[in-house]
Amino acid sequence: MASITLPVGGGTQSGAAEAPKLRVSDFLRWSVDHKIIGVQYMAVALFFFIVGGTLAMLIRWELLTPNLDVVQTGTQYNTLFSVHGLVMIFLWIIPMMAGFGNYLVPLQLGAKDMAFPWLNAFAFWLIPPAGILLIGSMLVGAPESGWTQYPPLSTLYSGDGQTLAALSIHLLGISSILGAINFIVTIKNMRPAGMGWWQLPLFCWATLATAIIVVMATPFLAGGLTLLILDKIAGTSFFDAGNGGDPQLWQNVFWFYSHPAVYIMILPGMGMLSEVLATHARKPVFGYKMVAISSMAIALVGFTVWAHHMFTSLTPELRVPFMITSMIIAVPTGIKIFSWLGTIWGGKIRFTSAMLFGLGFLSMFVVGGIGGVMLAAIPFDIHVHDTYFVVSHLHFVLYGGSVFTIYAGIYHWFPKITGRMLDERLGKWHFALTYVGFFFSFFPMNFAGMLGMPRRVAYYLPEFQSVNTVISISAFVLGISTFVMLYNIWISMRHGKKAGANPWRALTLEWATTSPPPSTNFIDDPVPFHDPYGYGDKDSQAYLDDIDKRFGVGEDVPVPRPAVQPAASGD
Amino acid sequence: MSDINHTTEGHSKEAAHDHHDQFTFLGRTFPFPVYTGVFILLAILTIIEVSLSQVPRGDLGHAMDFIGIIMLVLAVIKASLVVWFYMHLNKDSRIFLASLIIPTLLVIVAVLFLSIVPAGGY
Amino acid sequence: MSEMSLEKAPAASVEAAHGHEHNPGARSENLKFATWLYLASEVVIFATMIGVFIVFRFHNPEIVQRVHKETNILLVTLNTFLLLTSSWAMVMGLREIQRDNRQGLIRWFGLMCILGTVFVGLQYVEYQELAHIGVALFNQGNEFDGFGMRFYAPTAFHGVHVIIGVLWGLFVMNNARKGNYSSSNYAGVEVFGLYWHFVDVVWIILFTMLYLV
Ligand code: HEM
Ligand SMILES: [Cu+2]
Repeated sequence: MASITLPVGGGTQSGAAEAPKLRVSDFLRWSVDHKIIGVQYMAVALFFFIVGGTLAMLIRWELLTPNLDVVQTGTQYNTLFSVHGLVMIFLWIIPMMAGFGNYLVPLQLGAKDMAFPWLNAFAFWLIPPAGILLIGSMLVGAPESGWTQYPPLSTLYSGDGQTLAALSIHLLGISSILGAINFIVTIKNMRPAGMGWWQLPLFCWATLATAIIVVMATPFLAGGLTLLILDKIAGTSFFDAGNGGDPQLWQNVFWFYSHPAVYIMILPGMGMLSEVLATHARKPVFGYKMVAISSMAIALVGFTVWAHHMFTSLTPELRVPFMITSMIIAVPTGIKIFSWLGTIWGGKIRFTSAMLFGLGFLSMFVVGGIGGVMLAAIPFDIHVHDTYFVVSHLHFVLYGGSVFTIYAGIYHWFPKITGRMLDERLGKWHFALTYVGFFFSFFPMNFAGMLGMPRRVAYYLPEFQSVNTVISISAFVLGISTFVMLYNIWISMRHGKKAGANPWRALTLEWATTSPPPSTNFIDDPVPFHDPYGYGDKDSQAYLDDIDKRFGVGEDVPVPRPAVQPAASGD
Repeated sequence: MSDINHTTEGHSKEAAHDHHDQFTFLGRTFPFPVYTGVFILLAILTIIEVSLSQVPRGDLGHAMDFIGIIMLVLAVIKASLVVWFYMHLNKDSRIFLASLIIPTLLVIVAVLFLSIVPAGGY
Repeated sequence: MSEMSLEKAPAASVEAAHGHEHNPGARSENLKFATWLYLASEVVIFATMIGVFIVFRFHNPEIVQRVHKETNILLVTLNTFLLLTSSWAMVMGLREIQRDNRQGLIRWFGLMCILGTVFVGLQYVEYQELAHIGVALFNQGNEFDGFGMRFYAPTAFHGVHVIIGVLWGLFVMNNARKGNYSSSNYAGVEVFGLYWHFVDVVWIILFTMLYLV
């Protein structure tokens, strides 16, 4: 770089920028501002996280002993885990990721808003009614078929609640398709001058890959659910084997959607992780292009592995091809893991809460991924299919994976969203409790599973009691840890330290404006730095100093600032 | 792509007119009412299809016969005509084409899988 | 900079910042791209519904043949022509607005909406005929075992799309009447056109797949 790029073109009045004040009422009504919508998504998602978490606590309480004690009937237990799974996936992880996407994508692109602000708001407002439907479904002949909704459990053995749940998922699917269309158009057409595809922040890459999956996979679920609803209310029998239907059709259609969907749940988190690790380790992302490409590769290969969920029902000749594709898909995931390790290797790691959760993700996700590859091996899967081993795998990748990245994202971007820092001490408590609670909740499930404890049961053999007690107690710790974070958010919103524009001294564009950003995001059109992860680059100093000068720094900022505190060492 | 959004005066009404009444092939342009031409072609193909369907076909022992395949090919041609000329894929961005082709290939593979793989196989 | 704060910004300017691209060319490209992506997802959802029929056709060709023998192809052929013609009317209308002829647009679109409506009506007639010979949504044990639901679901789903299309067409006509379109601003017409042609394309496939093959 011959000349130094500075973040805001033609800015003359330094220090003039002043962050807007947020009012709660702005978030309670229809708004087309992507920042408000983003926060709305996140708040609703957090609410449903608590709902789903409460159900989980009830499940674990029930499983403290081999017999029924919390619930009176098997039906009630079935309802608990079915609604728990549906809520956590469709109302917590997916909307939460959409919330981050909405908040960050336009900012990272230096744009004023998404391509279709109205559509964006519409997509969000489909979520509350869908949530009400899903919760309401527990009251009327509850759904009892798990989040996978296999017939005949869903068609013949569940009540009207199953229909409501299906309608709710239908709405959520429409919402995420609309959101995804918006993301794709925004990312393709609204990049600023100076930001080619290879300067696109990795979170945007990941969101793009996710959005492509959503557009092509979610309609499978929509089609399948339509048929399921017809079976429930119109007297058809698409899935009823006794009446000329085919239950395996549902399994195929569901997994056409749902395997790609597990990447819908993890890819945005992986994008956030690249941002967090690079920023807090002060190093460029290792193998930036490979990370971007691997997101796309995952999106593509993700469509070819669905039948690994059906090893025990699929025609046997087809198992091996799906075993092979399932193992292949671990390759792009592995590329990402090595990129993250390479990124933090030798970096000046700052153990902020965001970074801790990032590192926590790395360790836990690898455990989950190894579990996945084990499951992809047919002989092994035949034994542990439908046991707690699978439950362990999916929680390692979804909790240890997606939820840990969400936590990292919250600690990283909360200052941008609210203008205040989260309390780091509470953050570390949160991390410690979550990490320990999580590990001891889900790792012992591997043993239970391999010894043959089936999933989705309320009664179990007495010899599993000890391991289940460990699991349940750890799960309660995990449950409590969530409230540490919620308390932290609550208290820091008003009393946290002022963050300033760029507390972490990060290079992506969302930091080149006030915290929170003004309604139009930027005062002038911002100029992206030529490398979004160019930490250590000489010019990046000047670029970051310019942001500090222009927008001011917060109180007691966690990152040394050469321009402000000449004594501290630079990046 | 050039004359779809003529937001400036540079593109006149004439351009819009041309867009329908000319047919460009191998770099050469012929005067031809494309929209109406395509419509007539669609009609002819449909008539052929329907007539074919009246040919006695005996018992379809299994899935498909020659006539069936011909009719499917005709249907694909008809669909492509509409997509190409009426939906302006001949002029618009290639990425629009991609967003049609990729999911189409995906679902063709999916439906073939569903048809061929025996149900309840285990 | 007081005008930057959320409370103080006049509503109009906030709406302007979030509501509209300033460059109409870019906006129309965005709209068309978004529509294509929406159609991409429609491809998949239609494929699931039609796929169910195709699988049935694959394994039970004799039942499908039996239905074909007992029904009259002329009615659906007429219906197919209605939709094809309406698609043609659609592009002709688009052509008129590209020439700044609003009346032309309204006239062609009127034709299109009428054709779409008649299509839906005839489909209803056809359903009644089928019901008359005994093809019900769910029948078991008679000679059309399992055909009904796999036939009605995709065709009805398509029919709903036609109805939505007609309503959307009326909406576009009304916009045209109010003078919202011109030769430099017709993205709204074009986007509706994409949808309507797509519904037509789905019918082309459905017609061959369900009625002829
Ligand atoms: C390394 C790549 C992965 C492989 C090879 C893999 C493989 C598998 C296999 C074979 C199963 C089926 C187990 C059974 O039911 O018998 C499974 C289940 C599951 N996987 Fe993975 N997986 C991988 C990564 C992931 C990721 C990244 C996620 C989510 C973010 C995920 C989420 C799930 C879920 C939710 C289930 C349980 C589905 C159910 O309820 O039955 N997996 N995985
Ligand atoms: Cu999978």
